[in-house]
Amino acid sequence: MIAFVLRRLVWSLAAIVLVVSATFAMVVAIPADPARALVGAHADAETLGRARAHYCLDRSLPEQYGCYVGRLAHGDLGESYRTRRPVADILWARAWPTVQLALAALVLQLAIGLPLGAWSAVRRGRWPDRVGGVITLVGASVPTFVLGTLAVYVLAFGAGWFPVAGYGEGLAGRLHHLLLPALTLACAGIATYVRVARAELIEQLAADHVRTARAKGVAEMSVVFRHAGRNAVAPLVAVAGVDLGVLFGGAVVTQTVFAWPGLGRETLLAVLDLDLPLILGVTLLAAVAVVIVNLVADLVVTRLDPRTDPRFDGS
Amino acid sequence: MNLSPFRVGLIMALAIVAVALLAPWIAGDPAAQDIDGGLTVRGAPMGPHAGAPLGTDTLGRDVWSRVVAGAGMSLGMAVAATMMSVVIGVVVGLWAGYAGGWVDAVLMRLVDVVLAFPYLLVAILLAALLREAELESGVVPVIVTLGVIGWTTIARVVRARVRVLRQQDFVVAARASGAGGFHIVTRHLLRNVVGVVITLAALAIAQNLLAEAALSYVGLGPPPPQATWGRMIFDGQSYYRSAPWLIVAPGLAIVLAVVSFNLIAEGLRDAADPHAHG
Repeated sequence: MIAFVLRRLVWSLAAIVLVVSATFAMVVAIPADPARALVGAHADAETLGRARAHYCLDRSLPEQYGCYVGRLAHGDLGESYRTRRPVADILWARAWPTVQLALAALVLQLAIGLPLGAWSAVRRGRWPDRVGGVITLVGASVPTFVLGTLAVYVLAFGAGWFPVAGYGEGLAGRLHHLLLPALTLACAGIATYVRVARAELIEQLAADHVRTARAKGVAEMSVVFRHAGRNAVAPLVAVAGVDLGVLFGGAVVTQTVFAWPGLGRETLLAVLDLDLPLILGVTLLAAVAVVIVNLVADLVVTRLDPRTDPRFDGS
Repeated sequence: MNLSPFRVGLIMALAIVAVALLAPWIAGDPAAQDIDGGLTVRGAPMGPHAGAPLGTDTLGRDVWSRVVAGAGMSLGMAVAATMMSVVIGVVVGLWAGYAGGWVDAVLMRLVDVVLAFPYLLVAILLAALLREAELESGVVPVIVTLGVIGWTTIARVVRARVRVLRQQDFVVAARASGAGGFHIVTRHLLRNVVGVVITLAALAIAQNLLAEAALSYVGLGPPPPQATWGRMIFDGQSYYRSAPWLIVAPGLAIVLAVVSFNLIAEGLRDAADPHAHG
């Protein structure tokens, strides 16, 4: 087990190194001069030279790379062109709202998707299954911004149940502001969980140990949740790991529609202004977060289902 | 005739393609402004009426003509991007699966890294960079962006299939009779992954339609006056109270197109794997 955890850790580290390298490659590939952008078009040669030295732009490419990694290791992600604030500070301020929204969306996806998927599997081929099928299809087919705009129009503007946009003050106000964007963001994922939970449970319900449990006269609820459901948990955790990454990425549109002060909206503003340090900072942070979340999900899955341990895999 | 979900999807998709192809005959110029007849006296967009079945937008342009033009644009970009993803994904998948060893390890770590970047975040970043590089204003940056991000799933699935296939007797027999690696990959393995690749391609078209709409919505699609569905919704959303048809028409168009390709993909998957059939 320890060897597996270590090997998985090394993989994750390698992935992070590759991610850092990819972002560095993007910086090099862009024709813009970061030093020039930092000091402005009218700075004198000496100031420009100092900025170039700070970013190691006057040295060879490998040295520039070492310099870049060194700055990252010190938490120095550069300075935003647009606001002149350190990128690390901006990311720090935007991280918490992003996490709140992503977690709220994940909770909603699980709370709605899993029961619906389980119900579809148990009532396979009948109307609950058909309802689940339609929800899956629509959830996977409606763009986030159409859904968000519609939700604002009907539930916030029309019915007046929710605020149209914003972050909200205090716990009650925050939850009130959070619910509509979280639901919008959750919608596509709900479809995924219905599909996966249904498929896994159908497979498990056909297994021998379930038939044995039924033959013994175990209550149906207990058969579904204790005998079959338990085996469907591991794949769902794996899906949730990937899903959190999607929640970070998909949040760009949702956060824009609802003016939620998260990383996604910040990215969009940064991209439209070509605020390179900020764009790279967000991308880097999101990618590292995804790698870590996937690592945790993988370890949890292996712990839940020893069969997925690669040591038992023939290859 | 039995209307299975697959057939419904196929009919819807064919209808959308037909509308896109017949655009010159069934719709007007999407960029033509009609200041006198297309706006109300006070300069507001007009609701659906005899001259404009889906109303007009804030510049007096016919919404029906723009939705039809958008069908060609959106479908064209989604299909082109998907073809690019299919080529990259199949080549990487075949190569990694057949070669195995360190080639496989390196390529699959590459897939992991591409997957580590949140999809839309990278799409926005790439689209912005490509546009800044001014390769060509218009559709090319969008197609390239979606194409180079979307191949990972295809590569993974193809690789997994090839890992299984290469152990099978017909491949072993081909190798034993002296066939080279290139021959085995193109003649024996490629044919056996075509089915699953077509299913994944249908899914990718649906995904790319959504992603293209999202890119257009955040302002990184083809520039105006090109009509794309995402851009139309972005332009119309400030008027959602006074002129809801400005977002309802393109919104419905996106949903119909995505639903049709999702249905096709679902049908193909069920046909290939009767075990998963609901």
